[in-house]
Amino acid sequence: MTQDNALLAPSTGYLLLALFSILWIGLGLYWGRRNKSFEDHALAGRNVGLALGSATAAATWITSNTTMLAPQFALQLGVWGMLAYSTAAFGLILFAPMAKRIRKLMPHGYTSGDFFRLRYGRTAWAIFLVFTLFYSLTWLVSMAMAGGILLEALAGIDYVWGMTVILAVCVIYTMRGGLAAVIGTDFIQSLIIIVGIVAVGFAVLQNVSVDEIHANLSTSKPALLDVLFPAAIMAIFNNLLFGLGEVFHNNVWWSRVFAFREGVGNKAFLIGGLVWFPIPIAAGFIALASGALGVGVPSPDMVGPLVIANVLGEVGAVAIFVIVFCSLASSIDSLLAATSDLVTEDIYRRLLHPAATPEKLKKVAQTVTLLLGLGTWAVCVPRVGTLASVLFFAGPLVGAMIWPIVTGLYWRSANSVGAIGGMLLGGGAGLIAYFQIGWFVASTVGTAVSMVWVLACAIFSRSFFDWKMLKEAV
Amino acid sequence: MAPLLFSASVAFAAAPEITSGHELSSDTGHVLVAWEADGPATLSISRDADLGDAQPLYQGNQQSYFLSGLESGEYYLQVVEASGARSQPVRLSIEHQSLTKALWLTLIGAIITLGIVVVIFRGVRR
Repeated sequence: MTQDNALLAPSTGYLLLALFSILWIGLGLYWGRRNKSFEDHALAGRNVGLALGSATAAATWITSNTTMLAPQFALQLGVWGMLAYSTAAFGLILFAPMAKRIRKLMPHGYTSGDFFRLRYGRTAWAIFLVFTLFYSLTWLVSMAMAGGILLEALAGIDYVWGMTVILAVCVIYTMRGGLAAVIGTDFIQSLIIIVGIVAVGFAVLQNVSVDEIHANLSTSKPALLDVLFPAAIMAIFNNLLFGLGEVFHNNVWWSRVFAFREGVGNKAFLIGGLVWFPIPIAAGFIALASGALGVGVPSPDMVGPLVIANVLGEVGAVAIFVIVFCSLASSIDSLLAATSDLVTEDIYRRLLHPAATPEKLKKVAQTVTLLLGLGTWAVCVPRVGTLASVLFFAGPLVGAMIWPIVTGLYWRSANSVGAIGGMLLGGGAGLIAYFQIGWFVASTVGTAVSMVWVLACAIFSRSFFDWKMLKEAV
Repeated sequence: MAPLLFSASVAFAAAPEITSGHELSSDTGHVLVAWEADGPATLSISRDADLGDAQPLYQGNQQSYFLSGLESGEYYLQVVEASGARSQPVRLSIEHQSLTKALWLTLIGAIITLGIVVVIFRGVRR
């Protein structure tokens, strides 16, 4: 879509961009003023309460994918697709009891990499780092690219400018404010996103009834209502397992477990998951209404903004611009913070400089955040469209990490051979399924193969892990 | 000279063209249809090769349309400009994935998920 058919005037877009940029940077600087050590910077002093904890869990999980890809899922896969996307909420809900366990087993932990290193040894740790960095960096690149593309589509803002501003704003406040700034801004961003999506859903219902939507779908898109739509039913558990793999392994979530006050993690992730659950359904419903509203969709990823602008006019265009900006920022900042902490803790501190002081580690984390931002920017500038789709390769990789993590947290018999084989065999089989069948089965196949291997190794294991080994001193 | 120029421009005006391919296929019931046309055009769909019962899908200046929710079968697509110029019809074949395979994979997904839930909650109870 070009500037000629953008939903907002570029001047309005630039004004909104400037206002929110100033707001996020100002809040980031304010919240980061007390950070002195790496623990303050990376884990917000391990003192985050329930309200902020629940909000950051929900907000971080509301990415631009939630507001843009959930409608696309509904348009492609119908009612099942909409529900399939919302199953990602179970990632947060099932992580809630795990958070309590992690905090108990690793009271001094910093990253998910610490768990793999201490629980399964260096080989499994190295494989985990490759998988998680691939996932995190492609997610980061896809978010930044999506930011540039969406701002251009919504307001005619040049792709490179839009992408640069979003990335720069997130880098500045994450560098200065660390996790405290990320969590604080997440709180405000989650409120804006939730209110915005709910308001838009009601506005759509004011313009078209559910009966009209159903009648339109029945005649023009009958497969979207089909209970036995093959690709859609395959997508249900595939998406659920992709979501579990993303949450269970990634340092975005583990860093929050370590940052939350004692006893908060369990409740915060449960509330965050329950708050998140209806959002893809509301966003997907908007897409299902597109036919009844007479909105022609030129590409599936633009169905959400087009329907909202059609229903609400300029007010809707402003709303979707703000929602998209907030959902992008809430994910990019979390990824920057969690990935820089992972690199600082797992590579710089554990491999290169074990004696580094907390102050030095904080400076390293800030530098890594800056370098991550610059690297992401350099990759995004050429706007290679296929890069964003690389993120979907991560589905089987993250699925293959579910069983090593879950059994590693609860079973003493889970072992390194199981974890290493589970990740490699599951990841490989899932990628084959991705190319042979489709993306909608890749995570299921990857997780299934990993599960069989991990369980077999645990059943025949003669060694039993000592949980005390996870309580590594700082 | 003016009438001559006008008739020449009509004679050489390019017909609209569906650029997504001469034959389209999908195993998910959705496809992105792109075309080139001068000005506003209408995209129509039909189950007959002669486009006898063509139903309009979209009318306007866009040059692409995302079509989804189609059941298995053969469809024919055509773009018609406001001037009446028509594209060559393009055949779209929809053949959904095997339902048996889908149900088996869904069952496998359900078993894996149940297993994860059991491991976590048995661990919590201990």
